[in-house]
Amino acid sequence: MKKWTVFAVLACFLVGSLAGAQQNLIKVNLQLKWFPQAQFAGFFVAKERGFYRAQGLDVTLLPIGDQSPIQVVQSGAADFGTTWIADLLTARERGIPVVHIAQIFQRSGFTLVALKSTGIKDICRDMKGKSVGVWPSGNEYPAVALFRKCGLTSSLDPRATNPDVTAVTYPFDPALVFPDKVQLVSAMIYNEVNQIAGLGYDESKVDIFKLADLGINLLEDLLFTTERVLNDRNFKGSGLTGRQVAARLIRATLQGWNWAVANQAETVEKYVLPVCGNTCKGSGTRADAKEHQTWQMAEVAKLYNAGATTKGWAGFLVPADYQASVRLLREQGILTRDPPAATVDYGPWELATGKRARDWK
Amino acid sequence: MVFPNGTVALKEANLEVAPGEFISLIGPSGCGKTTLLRLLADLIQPTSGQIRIGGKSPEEARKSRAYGYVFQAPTLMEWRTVLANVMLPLEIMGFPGPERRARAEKMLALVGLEKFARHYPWQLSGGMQQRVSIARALAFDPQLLFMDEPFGALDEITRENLNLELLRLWRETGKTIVFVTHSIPEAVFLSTRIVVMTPRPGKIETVIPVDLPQPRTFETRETTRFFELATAVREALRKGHGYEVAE
Amino acid sequence: MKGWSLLVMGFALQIAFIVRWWKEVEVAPLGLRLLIALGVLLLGVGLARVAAQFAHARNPLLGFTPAALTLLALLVTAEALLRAYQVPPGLVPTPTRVVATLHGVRDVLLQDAYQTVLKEALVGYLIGCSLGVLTAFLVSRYLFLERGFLPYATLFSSIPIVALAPVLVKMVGIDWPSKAAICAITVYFPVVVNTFRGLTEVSPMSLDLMRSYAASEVQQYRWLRLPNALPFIFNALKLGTTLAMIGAIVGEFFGANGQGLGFRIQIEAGRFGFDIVWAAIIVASAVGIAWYGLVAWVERRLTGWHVSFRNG
Repeated sequence: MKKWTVFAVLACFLVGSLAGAQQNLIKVNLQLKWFPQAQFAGFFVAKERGFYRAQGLDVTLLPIGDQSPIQVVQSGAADFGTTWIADLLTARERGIPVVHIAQIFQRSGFTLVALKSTGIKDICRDMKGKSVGVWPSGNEYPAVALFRKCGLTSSLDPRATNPDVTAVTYPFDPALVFPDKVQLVSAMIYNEVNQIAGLGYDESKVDIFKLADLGINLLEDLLFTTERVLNDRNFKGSGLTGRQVAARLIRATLQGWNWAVANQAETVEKYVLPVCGNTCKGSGTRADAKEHQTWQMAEVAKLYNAGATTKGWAGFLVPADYQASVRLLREQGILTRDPPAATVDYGPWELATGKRARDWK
Repeated sequence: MVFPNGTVALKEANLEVAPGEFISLIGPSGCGKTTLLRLLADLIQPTSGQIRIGGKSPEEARKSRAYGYVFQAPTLMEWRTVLANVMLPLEIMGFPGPERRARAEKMLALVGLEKFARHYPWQLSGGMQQRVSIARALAFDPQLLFMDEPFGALDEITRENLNLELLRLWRETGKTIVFVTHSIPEAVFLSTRIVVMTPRPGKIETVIPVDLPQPRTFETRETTRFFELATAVREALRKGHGYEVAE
Repeated sequence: MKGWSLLVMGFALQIAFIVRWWKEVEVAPLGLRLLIALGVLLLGVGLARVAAQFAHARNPLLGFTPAALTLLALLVTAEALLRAYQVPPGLVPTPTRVVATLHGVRDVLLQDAYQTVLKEALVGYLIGCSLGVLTAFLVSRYLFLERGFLPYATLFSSIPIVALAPVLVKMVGIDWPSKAAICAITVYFPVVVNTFRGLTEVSPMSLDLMRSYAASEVQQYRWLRLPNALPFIFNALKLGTTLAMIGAIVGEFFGANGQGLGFRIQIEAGRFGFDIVWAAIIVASAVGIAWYGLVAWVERRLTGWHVSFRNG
């Protein structure tokens, strides 16, 4: 009789704690900048290996839709998002109260690719009268900044009639425009470069211009949210402040990234390939999802494992890098004034890591 | 005349019409009077039997534009002015421009509508529209005029006025007219002969000559002879039990 | 006259606030916001009374006055509210900002309009309409086409063909011909269906009449079916102007060659340049209305006889 009672109590406990665990998880929507692929490996690992759950978060990772991540987060459909610095700062200048809370990639992976046969050796000198392929929705800024720096006008500038460079927008797949419609095409070092190679234009046939090498070193994948979320005293009735939720999200995300970078093969096999559909394979001869994502994982790891990360400060936005990005955007007239101080908030990152931003050397 | 579904629309219909006659076909609905007229005009073809119009088959007659046809409704082209509507057959038949105009204006004068040449059909009353359609049928000067209950939709007063006007036209132009109606007074007033038809299957019951003197006037309708003829027509219709059939 | 004074007071109140708050960056205090509300009230009552005065206006310009005043009142109120609440221009730009931007970027927007309207929409429209009319003639002439093709045309004319845009951009390429193709296809089906109806919805008596004239088939089309179809064709042509504009703009969302109103809208919406987005929308609307008006004018000239234009 006694045995049965113990069993019943235990069972009640078990059911109760399970239900409780379900209830206590805080629902968080995180908007990714692109389709699921190794670019977001750390997020998938954090979700699937339970790092988010351990922080009390139930995170839904949203693939890109027809709106930019900032539009989605600003509208409240997602609480957090990943995007690039130029996109974030221009939105901030136009009054959208978005806030940078953690820097995932410490280096830029943006490149422009041209066939060697086009004879484009120096972009500034050779691009006049040519076409460049760009993705819209805030992904065109690195190219815009480069052309401005070269003194070339482009059709992305609403104040330039008869622009020097024609910008061609296209959805996702560079094969739509390259090399027939454009001489130069945007390509991320960890994705489209390999897709273009798969189309039959490998490194022997194309020149890859890394924008960082051309003085356009704009920070890319970062975590952001809105002032509304950060200042929330009781995030979705969880009892936690928005700041605390952001800190937990950063902590688990960095944990996920560290794990992914350390266990790349397993990450691709277990956490990337199962979530990525048609869009994560390469193109042409390299249209194999596993091969393409394994390569992408290695490339992305290089962008993560750089700068502050190598000093044990993963996720930290190095103030000098930030200032360099701001200065560049201001010089090229993409920003008209310095962003307000509230654009970057180190608080959640400090809370997540126990470090203090002012200790950075 | 047998329709493909086996319905016999017209059975015994032997009739000869002399030039300059005004023949009325009268009978209740379904007696085949419109069918007979459409056979004459080659708008439909008979399964058996023979029709000759001035020695030609109906098809030859139609192709040589030997007749004008006036329908139950005016059937005017609403995008054309009254004058342009009267000119329509002349354009199709390739009359030269100035002649088209002269003929159309003359025809409009004949039906008393010269003042409405520039109007569109919708600006005219039903009776006026039907007069335009008569002018149109006469515009290319066919010897023969087929009229299928042209005044059936009009009120009694308008109808009697148009009857009088039609008789004047007939006298002035000397056309041969075959006229379908279901109105006994109209048939008696207009015709030189009345063909009484009975239904199911449609056949010619009898032919009644009308010996009322010409020119006929409003007073003609009040004469004893008019009533006698009307009675004769009515009795012929009743004899064929036509009155029993209604659609 | 009382309506007018209310209206003037309402406008004065809103404009005074806008001038006062032109350079401020703070949300306006409650008192000022209540004044805006009062302004809205005055404008509303004033408009209602003024509109009643114009209810029987014969002159079309005078009849349009209440609508114009309403638009003006809405714009002034929007300007005041957006400034009072400091709504970021990246979300909703104020009307004055849109107008200033429209003026500032007019050259580029005109180039965009040239690409979108004259190349993409107009070329597609002309191709779609002429092929549509031609097809309708054939369908009305050959029964097997009416049985075998027309049901599909009817089906396609009632579904949003513009959903084909991404497919066509992928097939034809990102240059303007892919957008012209989208416009041509969206315009084509309604033109086929309407023209067919116009060519075939003729009274049997009219056909008998043509037969009694021994008219050839060509003559039958020339004198009866075509004129009868004109009002139907023009309905489709007017609808087509709207469809072609939509097709061209939406088509550019799926890939464009550095120019065009749709390209501009997409690029600027992505970077929160909504002042330019609105300016582009204004240009697109103006062009769309002008185009529709032109077709409607031609329609009036050619089918002035039609029942829809009769007045008394």
